Amino acid sequence: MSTAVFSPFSPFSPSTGLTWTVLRLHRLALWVWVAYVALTGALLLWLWGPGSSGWHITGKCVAGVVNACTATGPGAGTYTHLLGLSTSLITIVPAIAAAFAGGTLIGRELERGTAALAWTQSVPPARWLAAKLAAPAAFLVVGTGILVALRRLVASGASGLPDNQWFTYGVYGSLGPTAVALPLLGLSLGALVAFISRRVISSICVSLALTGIVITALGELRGHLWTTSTVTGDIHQGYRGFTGLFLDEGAVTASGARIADPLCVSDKSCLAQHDITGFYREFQPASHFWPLQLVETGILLALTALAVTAVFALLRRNQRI
Amino acid sequence: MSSTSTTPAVAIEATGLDKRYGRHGQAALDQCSFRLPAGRISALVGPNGAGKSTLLAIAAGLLRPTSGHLTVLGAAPGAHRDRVAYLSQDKPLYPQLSIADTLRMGAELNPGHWDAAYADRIVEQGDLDPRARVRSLSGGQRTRVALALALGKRPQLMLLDEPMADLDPLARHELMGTLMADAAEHGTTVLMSSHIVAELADACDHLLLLGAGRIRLGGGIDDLTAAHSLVTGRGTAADLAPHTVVESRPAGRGLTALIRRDGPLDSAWEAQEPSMEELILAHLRNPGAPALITPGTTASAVAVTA
Repeated sequence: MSTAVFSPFSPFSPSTGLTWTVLRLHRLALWVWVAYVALTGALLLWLWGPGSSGWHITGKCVAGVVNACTATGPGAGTYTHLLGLSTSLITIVPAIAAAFAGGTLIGRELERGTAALAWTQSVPPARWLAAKLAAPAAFLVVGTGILVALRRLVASGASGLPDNQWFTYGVYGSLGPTAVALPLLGLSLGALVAFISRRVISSICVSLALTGIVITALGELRGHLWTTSTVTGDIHQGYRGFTGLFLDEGAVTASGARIADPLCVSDKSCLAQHDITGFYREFQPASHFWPLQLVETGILLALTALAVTAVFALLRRNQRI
Repeated sequence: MSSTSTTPAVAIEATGLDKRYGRHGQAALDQCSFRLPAGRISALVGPNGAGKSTLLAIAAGLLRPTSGHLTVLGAAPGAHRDRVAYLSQDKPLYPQLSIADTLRMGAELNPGHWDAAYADRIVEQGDLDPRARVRSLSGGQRTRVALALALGKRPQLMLLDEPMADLDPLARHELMGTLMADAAEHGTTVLMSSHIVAELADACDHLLLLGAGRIRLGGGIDDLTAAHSLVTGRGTAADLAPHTVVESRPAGRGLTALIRRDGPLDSAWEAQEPSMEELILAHLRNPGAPALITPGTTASAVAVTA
């Protein structure tokens, strides 16, 4: 209506004030995150520097063969233990982000009604929500970016060790851009759940569960996000070795069909009875790391965009913006 | 009183406002229609569950009505957040912030029109240390900080839901004085719900009485009290026709009644003008009484009758 013309303050952008408010409200969480990144970063730098001496690799590292090579020497135990710890510290960030968003960031605001306090100042709720999500997202991207870069540095320093290879169980999520994208999905899922439940405890629990489901589902899907490779050995060679992420294995018949291995071992009559001519293994080769990471990151960012859109839609449904 | 066309300033106008919570929920607001002229200090009264908080939250742009129409300062609720202050009943504040940071947040979120001196003064009057954390404050002290945050933005319209409920009588009197003096000086419109009728009588010049989700009584307090009479005399309620009897009770051999006059009153009845409190209580006790909304308070689009 015509009265809108005497609103002299709308041209002033309140976004800087909004940023101050978000940073002030979540100052503790911010410092905890800075400390988390600093400590994990220090750990990774130690692994890259002093921690990388005092041990050596023994055995021949053969991909697909568990424990074919290990680190031995006086520093080996500490190195492998701390390396595993640093990997875990990076891969649990999505869960931390989800719990933070479902709890402190959004859930507590809605449960206590303080969100309404912010919405009745001169800032539209949509701007408030944007600032609430953008500020922690920026800190997450920078923090996880630093940690992934350092983790890659450590991996490149002792690349032969299974714990530094992406296809070793649990390591993949700490070596590439998915480690940056997944916390963003956690953050947006936490915010979405908080807007639905409006309760801190239930938001935290459901956000953690959802993030866990996404991580598990991606682990299941991963092998099929890019074309796979297969190695086949005849009945004398048996299963052949490869370098990469194991997906599937079994026996091959004369017709070329893949069947479950009947476990004949070297029983000729058994092999003949099942018409087995060789054995196959299907896998993602080591060289597929980047295509897999990029496809997975794309999926994660698309899911994040969906979740963020849903959060804004929920905000709009109940409030006038 | 008639609605003056020279001053079109309307602070709030509601037309057929409905709000239901849940699909089969009872209506918190049911065809609620009224107009609040700008510059009035209006008391929003009504029994618990009458829809007072719902109406204020809708006007603040925090709730969406199920149907109907509401304009605030001539636009949709929420369009003029910079000019409307809202204080909800539970007065939420961030417990981890200090008072100083709470007020700083007010300045940051209301750029260009934050009156820091005024907000500071409200806090100082309560002998509060600006460095104190909000979580360490008592209920009344928290109310004071919430009021400072609401008033520091220098709003044109204040929506206050039970603003003084947990203040001690002295602080209530003093804060109410600050609020009213400021409203009078700046021509601020105030819509304030309260259960303390006596307190409202001193401060307000306008009344909106909500019952069962709609306005039962609306208008300037002087106009409303002048339209009613408290009569005593011998006779029955039927003898008072054609006047509308809002409430009657036996008194001695006769009757005391609060009536809405229709024409001159028979001199056999001893009449006096009711106080605002008597008027409100009579209507609260008798929710069946027909609604009365003065022309200045009647929504323009829809004529509101009983």
